[in-house]
Amino acid sequence: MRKLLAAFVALMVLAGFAQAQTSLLDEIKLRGNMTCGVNQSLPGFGVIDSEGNFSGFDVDFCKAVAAAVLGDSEAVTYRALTASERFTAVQTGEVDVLIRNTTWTSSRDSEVGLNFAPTTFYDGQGFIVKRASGISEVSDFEGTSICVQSGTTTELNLADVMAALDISYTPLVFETADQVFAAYEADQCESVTTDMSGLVSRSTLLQDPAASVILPITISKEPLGPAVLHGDDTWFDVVKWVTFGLIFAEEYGITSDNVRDVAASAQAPVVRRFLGLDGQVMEQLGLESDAMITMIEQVGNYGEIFARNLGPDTQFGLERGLNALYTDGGLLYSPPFR
Amino acid sequence: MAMTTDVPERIPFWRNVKTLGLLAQIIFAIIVVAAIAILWNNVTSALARSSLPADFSWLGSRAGIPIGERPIPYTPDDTYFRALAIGFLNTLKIALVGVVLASILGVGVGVARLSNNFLLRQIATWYVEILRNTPLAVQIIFWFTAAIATLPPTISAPIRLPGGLMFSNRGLAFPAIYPGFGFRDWLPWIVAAIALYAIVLYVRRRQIIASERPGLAWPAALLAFLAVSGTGYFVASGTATIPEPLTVDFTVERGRGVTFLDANGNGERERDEALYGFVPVTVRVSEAAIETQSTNLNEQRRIKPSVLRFPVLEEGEYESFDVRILGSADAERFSVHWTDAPTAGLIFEDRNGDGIYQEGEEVDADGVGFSGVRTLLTITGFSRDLVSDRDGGIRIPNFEPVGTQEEETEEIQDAGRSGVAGFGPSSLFGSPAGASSDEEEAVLDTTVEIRSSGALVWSRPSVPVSNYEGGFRFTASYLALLLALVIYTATFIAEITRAGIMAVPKGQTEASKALGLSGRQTFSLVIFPQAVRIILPPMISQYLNLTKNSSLAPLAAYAEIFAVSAIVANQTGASVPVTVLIIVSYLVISWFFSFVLNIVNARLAIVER
Amino acid sequence: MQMIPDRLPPAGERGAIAWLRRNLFSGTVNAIVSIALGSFVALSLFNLGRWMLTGASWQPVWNNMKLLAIYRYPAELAWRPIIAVGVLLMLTGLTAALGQRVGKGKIMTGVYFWFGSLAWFLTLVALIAWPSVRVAWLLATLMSVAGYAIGWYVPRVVRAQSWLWAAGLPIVLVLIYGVGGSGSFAVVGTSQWGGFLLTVVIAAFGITVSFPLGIALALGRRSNLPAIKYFSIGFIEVIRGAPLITWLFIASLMVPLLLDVAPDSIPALTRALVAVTLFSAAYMAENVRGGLQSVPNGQREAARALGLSGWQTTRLIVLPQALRAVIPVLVGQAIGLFKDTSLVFIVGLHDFFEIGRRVIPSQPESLLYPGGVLLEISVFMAFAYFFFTYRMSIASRQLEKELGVGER
Repeated sequence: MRKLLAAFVALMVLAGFAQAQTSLLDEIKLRGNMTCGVNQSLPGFGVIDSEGNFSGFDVDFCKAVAAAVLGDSEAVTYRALTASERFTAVQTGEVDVLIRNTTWTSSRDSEVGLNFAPTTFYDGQGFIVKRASGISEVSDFEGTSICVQSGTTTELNLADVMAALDISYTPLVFETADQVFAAYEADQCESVTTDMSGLVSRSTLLQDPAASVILPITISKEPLGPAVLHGDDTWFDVVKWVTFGLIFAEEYGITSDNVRDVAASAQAPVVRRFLGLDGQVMEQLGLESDAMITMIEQVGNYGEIFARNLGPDTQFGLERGLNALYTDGGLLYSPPFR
Repeated sequence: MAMTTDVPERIPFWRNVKTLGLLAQIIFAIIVVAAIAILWNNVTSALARSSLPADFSWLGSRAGIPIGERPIPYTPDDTYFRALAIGFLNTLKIALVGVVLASILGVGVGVARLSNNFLLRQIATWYVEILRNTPLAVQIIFWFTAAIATLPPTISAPIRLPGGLMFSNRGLAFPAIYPGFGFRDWLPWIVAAIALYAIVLYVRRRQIIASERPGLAWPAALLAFLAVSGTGYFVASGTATIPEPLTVDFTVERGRGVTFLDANGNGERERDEALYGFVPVTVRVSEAAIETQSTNLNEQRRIKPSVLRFPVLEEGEYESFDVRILGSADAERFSVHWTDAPTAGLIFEDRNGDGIYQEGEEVDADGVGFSGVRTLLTITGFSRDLVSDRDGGIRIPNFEPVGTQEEETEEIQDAGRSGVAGFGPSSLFGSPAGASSDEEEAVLDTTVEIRSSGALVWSRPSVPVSNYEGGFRFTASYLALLLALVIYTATFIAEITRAGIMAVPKGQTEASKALGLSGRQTFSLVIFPQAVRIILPPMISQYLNLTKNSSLAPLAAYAEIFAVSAIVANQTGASVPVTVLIIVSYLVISWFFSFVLNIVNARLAIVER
Repeated sequence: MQMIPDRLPPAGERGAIAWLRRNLFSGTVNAIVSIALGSFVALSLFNLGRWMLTGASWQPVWNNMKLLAIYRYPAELAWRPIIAVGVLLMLTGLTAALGQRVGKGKIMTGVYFWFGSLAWFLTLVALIAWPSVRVAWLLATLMSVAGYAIGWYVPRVVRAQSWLWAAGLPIVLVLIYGVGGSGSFAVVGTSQWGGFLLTVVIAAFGITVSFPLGIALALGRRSNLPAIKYFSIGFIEVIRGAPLITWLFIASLMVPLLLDVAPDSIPALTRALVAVTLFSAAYMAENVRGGLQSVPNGQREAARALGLSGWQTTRLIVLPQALRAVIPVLVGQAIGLFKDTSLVFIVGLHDFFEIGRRVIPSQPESLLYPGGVLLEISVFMAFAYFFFTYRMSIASRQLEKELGVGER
C-alpha cells in the first residue's frame, strides 16, 4: 500500500510544478481551515470521544499548527486514518499534515515522498510480558506466544529479531491494537510487542498492571513526528518551526498561563524574537507576528501537551524519558529562532 | 391497368433487426474495449511513474511476515509465494471442515424445525431467525473476542479430558494417529485391502441380486478389508525398525529439539539434513526446577487471586515434586495449596495457623490476592513420551538446573507502578541479544531416546511452555471462525432442508405409512432420499458461500488467503498482482464448486424418473 | 335418520394438558427431549438475563449512542437525520393506512408499526435523557402518526401517493446532506457520516442502484447478441466468484489506479458504494434471471403475436411478471446487503459495526472496564441488526405468501 501510494508522489510533484508557488500555506489561510490526519484508536495519542471529538497528544499538535497558522486551534478538520491509508492521504492532499504516530524512516522520506517535521515523540519497539511467565529476556520467549498487530513494521521487526536469535515462538497476528491487548488480557499470549509508548500507555489500563512488566529491551528505533508532502517547502517550514516553537517555549519556560505576561515583560532578545515582538521571524515563515503567542496561549508548550495527554497525572503515567528537553537528559532541542 | 410492381421491399438497414443487433454489439464492444483500454492505460501509466511492482517477481522474495497457523512448514525467511500458499491452504482447511459440520448441524436443525416436539421446533426456529438475521462479522467478533478468548480457562489450566484432549482459550488439542516407522511397509497391505473390499462388495452384490433376497453387501467386504489391513498392520509393525541415521538434536537450555536424519553423523542438524517427523521420543530429566510467580489471573472473565501455575504435568510423568516459596519473608508468611498438583495451585496466608487452606485465606484483608510471590518447583525423575511433530520438533518445559535460582536477583519493575521501565537511551540503543548463556554453569541432566513404533504412532498433546505441542491442534482463531461460519451457514442449510422435506408430497408419507413403515423408516427411507434431490443443489451454493465468507478471517486473526493477501499487499505495494491473485484464488474455488454442482445435478437428473 | 349432535372431544384430548401431551410428551423420547431442552433453555435464558442485568457493563454503549447512530455528524444538526426518519415513517404510515382502508397493506402496516414503535421508544428515551434531540424526536413521531392519520382519514391522497414518495426521498437526502451555507442546512460532508446512518445509506443506495443494473445484466445474459451476452456472463460470474470483502479491498486498492486521479476526489464512501453496488448488481442479475425463466414462453409468443415489439414485450409483459415473482428474493437480498455493509471498514469507513468494534473499545473510558466491553457491544450490535433484518425477513415471507410464490 505504502509503495503503491508512492505512485502518486510523482504525480503530485508534477502537479506541484504546474501550479508553481501556490503553497498549501496560502491555500489553508484562504480556506480558513486545516485538515489533519490523525489516529482514532491509540489511547493518549488520538482517540474519538463519545461526542465524536478527537483528542490526544498527536491531536494537540494539529491544534498547535492550526493556532499558529490560522489563529484558531479549533479550525481543524480531522481525518481518522488507518495505518495503510495514511500515506495516500498526504500524497493526494486529502490531509494537509499527517500527525499519526508515524515513524520517520528514510524510505518514507524518499520513496513515499514525505517530509518529516522534527520528532515529537521518541519511541522504540518493546515487549510487555506477564510476570508469571518468568520471561526476562528475549531468549525466554522460546515456546511462548507473542501478540502483534498486522500491517505494521512491528510485525516485521519481531520476525527479524526472533529469526536472528533462532527462537521458536507462536505469533498471534491481530488486525487492531485493541484485539492485541484484549488477547493479552485474556492470556492468549504471554507478551505483546509494539511501540514502548503504546505499551506504557496501555499497561496502566490493564486490569492488574502489577501482573505485567515491560522488558528493558527495545528492538527498534521509532521516532514519531508530523509529516507533510514533499515539495512544498513553505508549508514544510511552517510545520517544522511550529513544532520547534513548542519545544522552544518549553525551553524558555513559556506556558499557556504566562505567555501574555512574558510577552508584556520580556527583555531577552531571543524570547522577543520568538514571540514576534522584535524582528520578522514569523512573517518570514508566512505567519502572523504573534503566531507563537496565540499558539502557546491556546495549546500550551510541548511540556504541557505531554503532561496533558500522557504525563504522570493522566491514566497513562508516562515519564518524559527520551522525550525530555536536552537539558534534562532527553533529545528535544530547538534551533534558534532568528 | 395499373400493374402493382411487387418489388420485394428491402428493409432499410436501420430497421433490420440483424443489422441493428450487429451494430449494437459493435458499439457495445467498442465501448467496453475502450473503457478497458483507458483503465489499462491508467493503471500502466500510474505504475510506470512509480516503483511499484507490477509483475509477479516479488513472489520469490523473502516474506518476513510471521504466520501462526501453518499447514505446511513456514518461517519468515520463506517467500511471499509460500506465505500466500499457506493462506490458500488455510482457506481450504476451514472450508472443508466447515462444510461438513454446517451440513450436519443445518440438516439437524432443519429436521428439528419440523419436529412434533413443540420445544425443539421453537428452539430450532429461533436459532434460525436470530442467527440468520445478524451479520456474520458481528458473530465472528462475538465468538472470537468475546467468547472463545474469555470463556474457557487459560492454557495453564486447560480443561483436560481422559485420553489427552485439552481445551483452553488458546484452542483445542486432541490425540492423533500419525504414520510410524512401519507405515511404509503397511501401505501395500492397505492398497490390497481396498482392492479386496471392492471385489468382495461387487461379488456379494451380484450374489444378492441373483438370490433375489434382501441382504447387505458391505459387511462381508468390510470384514475382508479389516482382516487384510489388520494382518498387514501387525506384520508391518512387527518388522518396523528405527531408520538408521535418525537422531535427535536436543538443545537442553532451550528445552527443544528436532528429529532428523543425521547424514554426517555429528549429532547436530545442519541446514541440508532432512527433518524426520512423527518420531516417538522419550525425554528424561533426572532433576529439574522451574520458577514462577503467583499472579491475580484474569481467567474466564473473573479475577482469580494468588494463582500459581506450573507447566502441565500428567500423573506418572514425574517421580516426586517439591514446592518451595522463595524469599525468606514470603516463605514464612505464605503456603501453597494445590488445586491440581503439581500444575495449578494458589498461595495462601495461613491466618488461623491450622496449616490447611480455607476460603478467604488467598486474599489479604482488602480482598486483594497475593501476586508476585516467587515459588520454586523441583521435579525429580521427569520423563515424558513425546511424538515429534511434522517438522520433527519436540519440546519439554523450560526447566532449569536445580540450585541456580536463589542467587538470581530479579530487577524487573512493575509495568503500572514505575511507568517507563526501560525507556531510557541505554535501552533504546541496547542490543536485543538476550541469550546470556555464560552465567549458567550447571546444565540439566537430560537424556533423549528414540522409541520404536509400529505402523502407526499415537501422539498425545502436551503443554510444555504455553502452547500445545503434539497431537492435533486447532487454534482459538480457527475455532472461533469455524464456529461462526458453521453456525451462520447452518441456518441457511436448515431452511433449505426444511423446504426440501416439505416439498416431498404428503402422499409419500401416507403411502409408506400404509405399507407399514414406522415413522422413522418413513423419514429415512422414503422422505429424506427424495428431499435430498431438492436440497443438494442449493446446499452446494451454501458451501460456496461458506468458503467465500471465510474471507472475514482477519476479524478472527486467522491467516487465510484474503488476510495474507492484505498483509502482502501492504508490505510489498504490489496491489495489482495481489488483486489478480485474490480474484484467481476465489474463482478457482468457485469453479470447483460449480463443477461439483454440475456433477450432482447430472447425477440427480439420471436418477429422476 | 337422526343427526347425532356434535360432542366435545374427551377431557383428555382438549385443554392445556392435551396440548402438552400432544406437543411435548407424546412418547418417552419426546418427553426426555422436552425436559432436557426445557431445562437447557431455562438455564441459558436465566444466565443470559442475569448477565445482562447484573454482569454486563452497558455504560460505554449508552454513552456512545450518538457515535453509534451518526458518528461525527454535527450534534447541533442531529435533528436533520431524525426528521428524515420522520419523513420516511410518515410516508410508510400513509401507505400503510391507505392500504388498510382497502383491506390490503398488511405488510406495510406491520413494517410501519414495528419501526414506528422504535421511534416512540426513542422519543421516550430522548424526553428523559437526550435533551438536545428531544424536539426532533417528538416531531418525527408526530410526523409518523400524522402520516397514518392522513392516510386513514383522507383516502383521497391515494392518488398523490406515488408523488409523495417521489418527493419524500429527495427531501430525506437533502436533510441528510444539507443544502449549503453555514446555518441549519449546512452541508455535512460524507466523511462526517457514519454509524447506523451510514449503514442505512450504503444499504439503501446499493439496493436501489443495483436494481436497474441487475435487470440490465439479467436481460443482457439472456440476450441473443453474443457480445452483450458474454460480457454479462463474465461480469456476473467474476463478481459473484469472489466475496464482497475482497471487492471492497480491491476497490480501495485499485480505484485510484484505474481512474488515475487523485483519490481525494473519490472519497471512501464512493469507493464502498461502487463495490457494494456492482457486487449487489451481479447477485440481483441472477435473481432476476430466475424470475425471467419462470415466465412461460407462451407469454412472450402471445405478446409478439399481438404485435408488440421485442422491447415492448420485455418491458410490458415479461419483466413485470418476472419481477413480481422475485420480489421476496429481492427483499432477501436487501437483508443480505444490509448485513454485508458491516464489511465497509475495509475501505476505512466508520459504519455501525466499525464504531462498535474499534472506536468504542479504544476509548480510554472503555479500557477501564475489566475484560473490555466488546462482549456487551457485540450483543448490542447483534440486537440492533436483528431488529431491522428480522422485520424485513417477516415482510419477505408475507410477500411470498401474498404473491403465491413457492406454492405448488
